[in-house]
Amino acid sequence: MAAPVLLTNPLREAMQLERTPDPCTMVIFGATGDLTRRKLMPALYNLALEGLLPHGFSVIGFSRPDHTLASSQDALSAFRERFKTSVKSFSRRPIEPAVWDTFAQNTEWVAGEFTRAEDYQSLRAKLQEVDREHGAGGNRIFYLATPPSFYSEIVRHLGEAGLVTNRATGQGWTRIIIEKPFGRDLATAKALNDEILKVFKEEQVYRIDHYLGKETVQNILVFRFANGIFEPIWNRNFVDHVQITVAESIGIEGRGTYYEEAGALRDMVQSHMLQLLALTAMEPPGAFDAEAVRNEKVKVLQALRPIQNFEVAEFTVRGQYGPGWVAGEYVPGYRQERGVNPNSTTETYVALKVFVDNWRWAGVPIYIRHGKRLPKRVSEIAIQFKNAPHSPFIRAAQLPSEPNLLVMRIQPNDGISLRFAAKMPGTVMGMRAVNMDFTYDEAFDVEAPDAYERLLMDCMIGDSTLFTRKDEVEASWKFITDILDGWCELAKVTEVRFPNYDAGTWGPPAADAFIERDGREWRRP
Amino acid sequence: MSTPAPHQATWSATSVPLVAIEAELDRLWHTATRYLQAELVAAGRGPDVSQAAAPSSIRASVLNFVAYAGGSSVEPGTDEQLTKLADYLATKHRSRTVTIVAHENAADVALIATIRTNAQDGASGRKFIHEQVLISADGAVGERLPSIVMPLLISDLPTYVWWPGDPPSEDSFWRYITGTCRHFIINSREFSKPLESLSRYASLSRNARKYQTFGDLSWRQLSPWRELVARFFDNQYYRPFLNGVESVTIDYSGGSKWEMADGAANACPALLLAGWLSSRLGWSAVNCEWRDDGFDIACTDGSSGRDITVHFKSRLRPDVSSATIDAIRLKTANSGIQAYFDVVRQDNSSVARATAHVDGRTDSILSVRMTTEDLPALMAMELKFCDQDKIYEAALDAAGNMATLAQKQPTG
Ligand SMILES: NC(=O)c1ccc[n+]([C@@H]2O[C@H](COP(=O)([O-])OP(=O)(O)OC[C@H]3O[C@@H](n4cnc5c(N)ncnc54)[C@H](OP(=O)(O)O)[C@@H]3O)[C@@H](O)[C@H]2O)c1
Repeated sequence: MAAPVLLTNPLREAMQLERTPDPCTMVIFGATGDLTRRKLMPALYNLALEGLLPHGFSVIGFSRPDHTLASSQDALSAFRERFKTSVKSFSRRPIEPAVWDTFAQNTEWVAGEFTRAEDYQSLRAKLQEVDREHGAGGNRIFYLATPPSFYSEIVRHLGEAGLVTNRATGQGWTRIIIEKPFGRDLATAKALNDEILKVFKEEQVYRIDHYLGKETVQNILVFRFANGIFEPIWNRNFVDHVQITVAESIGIEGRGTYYEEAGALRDMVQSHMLQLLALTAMEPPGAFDAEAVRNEKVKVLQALRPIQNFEVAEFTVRGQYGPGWVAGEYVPGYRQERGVNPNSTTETYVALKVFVDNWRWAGVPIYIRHGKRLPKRVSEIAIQFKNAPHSPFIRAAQLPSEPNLLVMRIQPNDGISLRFAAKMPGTVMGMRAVNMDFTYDEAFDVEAPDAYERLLMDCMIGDSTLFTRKDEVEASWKFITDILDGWCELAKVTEVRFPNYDAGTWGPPAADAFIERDGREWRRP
Repeated sequence: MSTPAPHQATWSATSVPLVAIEAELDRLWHTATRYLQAELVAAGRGPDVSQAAAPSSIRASVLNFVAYAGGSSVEPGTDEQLTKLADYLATKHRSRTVTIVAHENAADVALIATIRTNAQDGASGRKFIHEQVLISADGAVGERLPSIVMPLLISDLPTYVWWPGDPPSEDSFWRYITGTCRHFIINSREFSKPLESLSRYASLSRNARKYQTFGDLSWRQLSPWRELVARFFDNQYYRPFLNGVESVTIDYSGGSKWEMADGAANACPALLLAGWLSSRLGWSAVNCEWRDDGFDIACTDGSSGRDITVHFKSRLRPDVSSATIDAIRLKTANSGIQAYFDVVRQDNSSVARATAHVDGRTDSILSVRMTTEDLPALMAMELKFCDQDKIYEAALDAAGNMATLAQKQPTG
């Protein structure tokens, strides 16, 4: 009898890792930068420690040479040393010498200036050498951990140097991971997409939004679509409104130059918060895969009712913090931060009232707010349900004033809580709202991997479900760009008076008036 | 292990009616809850008045955990060990715990119940309450014991039963709780009669009710070994070699405490690893021969009729307390090319190296940290599972067959 042909690995079945990545090489552009140091290197090392990296995996750092180092061997040693130091400082687990040694042997370095074509030829030679030595079969990931202004240029050089292989030609696969911010408005995002898609196909492009790598963000989908009882009430018939809050107590942490160009709306709302909104409002996908999930998310983003021209005055509130007290410490105002124009009109707080114009959400306002230097750090999505249609307890001493509320907390104390009314013990019909609280670490006391570990792994496997697609990025920028334009128009006729909230408060008073107009109030998380 | 928080209350009674236990649990639970709320308020994290919503409870249980230590002799200190284990597990999986220490051979019949509520620190620093009922059962308590245990379990939560030592016989406490038990856990590395017990455990699993699942902490410990072996054959160039396996050698070692009658170390982990390979690759065990340092199991490949030998090489090591795998080596051939796939861990090292030697060339090397988890950590992992693990059950079935063969042919 002939032995069966093994198309799949029979030993792999029902293993913790259902799929393992192909051998591949990851090239990091911006290998000396902050992101590489704090996130990428520790994430790669933790994957190695868990044995999740494939055989034949290597990392190549591409960065400007340090001229104090005599030889390329010295530069490589310096790169490995830098790698080790960053793992020591930022890894969630300590260095295991034997694992580290094997891992370090598979790190390489290429001297490179993003703008010099020759350097991409050296990279090409190095990749070929690594392929020969480690058997990566031409599979490669380019990670752009660089200032956004270089994205297009690097991509162009990669194409010109013939570094973008594809499976069809039998040379292995190529993928590219691009950090945020992806553009600064609709026009620049489209232009960037065009540049990238001249060289790469969409399925090779992984636009990262690290929020999607967070366990609790993924749990929004599990909560909604793995339970049968929530979906039937997740719509305009039962939901009064939704509040999505991402509050930060920190300021801009020395990134004044960057923030002046960005502002709260671009920095947080365009990417992370619209993603949270999409996950909260989307229809159930047919499968948890890249196309199905992203098709549903993009429909939500495309259904956002535009906020145009002077409508910004009605549907948005902007703020900027002045000096104040946060967690017992006196902190400077935004205009006093390093790298910030003393007359800056950049917003550090934004509140929006958004409508998703589709059958499910028609008429349900979704309030979004984000700010820096608020009293505490919290990210959450709160679904406030309508009041019971009729109260038989009309004579009761105390009416249930609080409607049902479901809160999905993303950080801190990630979990879910549900508020409902209960009878207070006593001879009269008094009632009071109580919370039924679920926190992750109460139920599952396990250490979750860092978002970057999950996302790097997904990219190696070729799963782009948790990355944003071209149409998603453009739909979100379209919505945001209208608001940015509207603010410009408004500024021509009314003066922007900043700062308008003290550090350590919940934002400008106008934001309270904004929601109170609708007979609602902000949650105090 | 988490340190117990200051709040701890215990209560005990001899031969008491169930209602008294339940009432006492309730009372202790409330005292503990009030204590926690007072702490929260003191820490400024009390009920948020502006929300007019008070936390109704700090309880979030995900399972019932029943531990049963019985058999002919129970080592002194077992109850403390189980209590400590349960406290630790509760930090990972909030549960109601019922711990039973049964002195089955005691002459007089006696049942003593002790209840403990303990405010413990969770990993996040938040406190939570863990409730344990400890039952000491002397003599032939028969159905009286399950009639107390059953109503104490929180309804609708899956019940996990931890059974230290050899697997239960048909006429034990097991008979009464099998209907309630969702997931049954043993640790085959600690079997005192490894071959006999493994083959019995395999038959328990074969005859299980629907929805009842079986686990073995030793199987959990094999995960990194299985992962590394599987990893070779994710590579499509190596995969065809799986059809040409000629022999498998598994080196294992263990302390003398659990040695088998013939002087070998406990072979259960090695048998499970071999059982996994043979069930995945469609081999069946046909014969066993003993050697000085272990035994060989002859297998036949179901599709090609090829012969495969699995060598079990045992080593007694006084410095290790329970059996571990040291290496697994596959010798194989495909189209006339000879290949060896080895995963080897050096003594006392936490790192294993996987190496493929194909056609005289050393092809790829991977070093991975092998998790050497202690019993509480393994148990915490095991409590994550309750779905049927078909791969394990098939491996256990095959390992059970091998153990049965090995039992029949002890050294002459
Ligand atoms: N840092 C974070 O936590 C974070 C979070 C989310 C997103 N991001 C995004 O990630 C990207 C990188 O951020 P970052 O904070 O890591 O930036 P960064 O610290 O400024 O690092 C930039 C890197 O690019 C290199 N570089 C700049 N110009 C170059 C050139 N002409 N040729 C060669 N190398 C050049 C720098 O090398 P030299 O050392 O030689 O200057 C450095 O390695 C940005 O797009 C950012 O928006 C960062």
